[in-house]
Amino acid sequence: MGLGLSLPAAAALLAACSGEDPEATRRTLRFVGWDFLPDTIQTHLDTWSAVSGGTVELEVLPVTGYPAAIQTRFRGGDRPDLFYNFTYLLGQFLENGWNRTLNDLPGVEERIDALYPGARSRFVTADGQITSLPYFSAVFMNHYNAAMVEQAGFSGPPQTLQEYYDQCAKIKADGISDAPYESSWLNERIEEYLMATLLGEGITAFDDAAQPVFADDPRSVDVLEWWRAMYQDGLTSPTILTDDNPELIGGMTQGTFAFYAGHDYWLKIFNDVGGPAAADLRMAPMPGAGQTLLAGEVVQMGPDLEGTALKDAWDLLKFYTGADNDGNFTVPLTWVEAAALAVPYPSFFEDPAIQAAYPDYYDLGVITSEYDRAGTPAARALSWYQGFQVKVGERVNDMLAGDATPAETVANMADDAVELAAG
Amino acid sequence: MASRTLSRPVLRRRAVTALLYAALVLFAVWVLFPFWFLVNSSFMTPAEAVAVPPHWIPEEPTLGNYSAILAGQVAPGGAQVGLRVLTALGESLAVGILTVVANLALGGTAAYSMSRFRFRGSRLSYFSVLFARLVPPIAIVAAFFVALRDLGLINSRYGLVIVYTSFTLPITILVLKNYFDGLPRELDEAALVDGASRLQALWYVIRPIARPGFIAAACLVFLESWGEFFYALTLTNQLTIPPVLAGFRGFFQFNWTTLAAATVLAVVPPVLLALVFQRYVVRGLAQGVAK
Repeated sequence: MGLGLSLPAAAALLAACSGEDPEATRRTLRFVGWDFLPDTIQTHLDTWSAVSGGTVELEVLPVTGYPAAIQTRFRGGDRPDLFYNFTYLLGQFLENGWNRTLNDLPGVEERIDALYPGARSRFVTADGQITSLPYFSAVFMNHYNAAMVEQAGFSGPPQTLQEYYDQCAKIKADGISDAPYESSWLNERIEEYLMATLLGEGITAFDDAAQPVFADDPRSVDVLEWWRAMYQDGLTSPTILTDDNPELIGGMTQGTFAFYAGHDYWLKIFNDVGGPAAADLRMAPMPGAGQTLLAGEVVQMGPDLEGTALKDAWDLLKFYTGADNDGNFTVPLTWVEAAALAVPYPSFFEDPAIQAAYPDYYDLGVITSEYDRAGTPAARALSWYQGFQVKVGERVNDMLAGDATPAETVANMADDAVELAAG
Repeated sequence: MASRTLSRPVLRRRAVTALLYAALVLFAVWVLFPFWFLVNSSFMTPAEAVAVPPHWIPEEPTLGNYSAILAGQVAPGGAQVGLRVLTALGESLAVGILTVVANLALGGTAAYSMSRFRFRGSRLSYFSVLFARLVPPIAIVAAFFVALRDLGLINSRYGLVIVYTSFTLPITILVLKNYFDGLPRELDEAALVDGASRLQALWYVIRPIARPGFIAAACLVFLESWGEFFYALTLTNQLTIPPVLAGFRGFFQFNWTTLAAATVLAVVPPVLLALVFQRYVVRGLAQGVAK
């Protein structure tokens, strides 16, 4: 697939026509990323430099603290040319003028049109501003221990929330697992589970004006009733509200838990770590016939680019976030090999090299069908939404502690969203 | 043989001693258990590190985590460690030493003058220095960023030394001023009578006597510099060891065992420092407290 133009060639052509020497206005780009395979990032930047003739310097920060560090740097006047970013920060960066929108760049519309339809709102605002391109994407999947499910007498993983509850209850009652269900219900991640479950049930969480319409749908209360029952009936890990990666990885690979709902790349993590139960782990669509939640982070362009530097940065951004000028997913291929990370283009999954790079235990048919129904509320990229994520964590914790009913929780969360959106 | 009966006070004293030792052992276990867990994990594979129940001693010990760090190999679990842990340890050492030198030079003279000179506003000046410790680091990090960027010192050890010195100086001044206050002024005055300048009196007379105070201040400053994370995160690109260690906690990889090995290596310098200089630190701090 050839989504990109050969920008160095185009730049040279333009420069020749205008009499401008591209080398005279060329400068070394600055690329800021977080600490995941930094040697591989450097290799990609070197590859791009060798092909394009441009130069780029890599600056690596740890993921832990990246949001604080990158925002402090921007606040202090730093303007890197390309940088990783979290999608929940997109609205804030746009409001502060810390990133360059991509709308005027050649070929960007083709890139956006090539995305899965449900992915578009992650990169394009409601008023049409293109903020970023994908560093990686993932869909929410239901990871399960096939041996445990079978031992409990079920022919397959749950298809609905009720089946989810019933399977967990049976697995616990049969003594197969004391805590069948595990997830990342840390305060800061609860909102993601709320959205995944609402979408799965076919509930529209926010309308086009970013108003919280989930409160108008009575099924939202049912979702929280299910959530509360899973926790209060002892079907989850007793420490699910504080469990972090080591607990959930250990619990799944050692056979403590039967289910883990989370991003699709977790199956590779489980298998890479290994353990007595690792070979029994499978992934299935999240329960519910609605949408599944699309996740992932992005790469953005800094606001101070112009001339040849802008052309170089755009060329590098395309190379890094999708197909290169020859139509190969050079960079995303390495993320698949390392961590089963995807980019949300149908053509990515159709690429034979990508298909071969996925481990055998991945069912790409299931994943692509999930991408077909994946989506994410556009409100999640707005600047006020960070505050809402915090509120959701608090509200759901209160409900699980018995301090609020599901109906009250839904109403309170809707009020929170309205209040935060109003500023 | 006649049996010896112990008097009640002796029995009570022994019981109290036994209780004290039991409490000390409990405290030692409490303090050392996390360190044991860390060392233990550093010799495990990622799979063994998450075993249920936990393995208190590695069943299949591996040096893979250490060899990855020391030889720049890819670690068990897939982390690209390279030589950045060793490089960062070197940078942390350099930053720590330079910060200590700057602190002792600036803080020593400042503490000496605050101890020996009384002037209008001297107490205010002293408390202003201490007040600087109360400012939350996050509140002023952007200002430091702008300053260092304008000076071309972002991602530089010298930039970090400037920043660390600015917020460790109050510790140095506090410790040394209290120490100097405990030294008789007659010593300085005798040196001055003999024709020494104030700086010469400080260097040739006070400094040798105040050695425990200087060492205590140096140790505290070094330890603070060694473990500082937030400024190193924001002002550098993983230059020193704390942000490098943080980098092992990734999104998509399970690097806890490599993190454990890197952390073990990272705690060696401060532990050695504490062991070698502990009596000076205790004396240096006690002098200030006893005053």
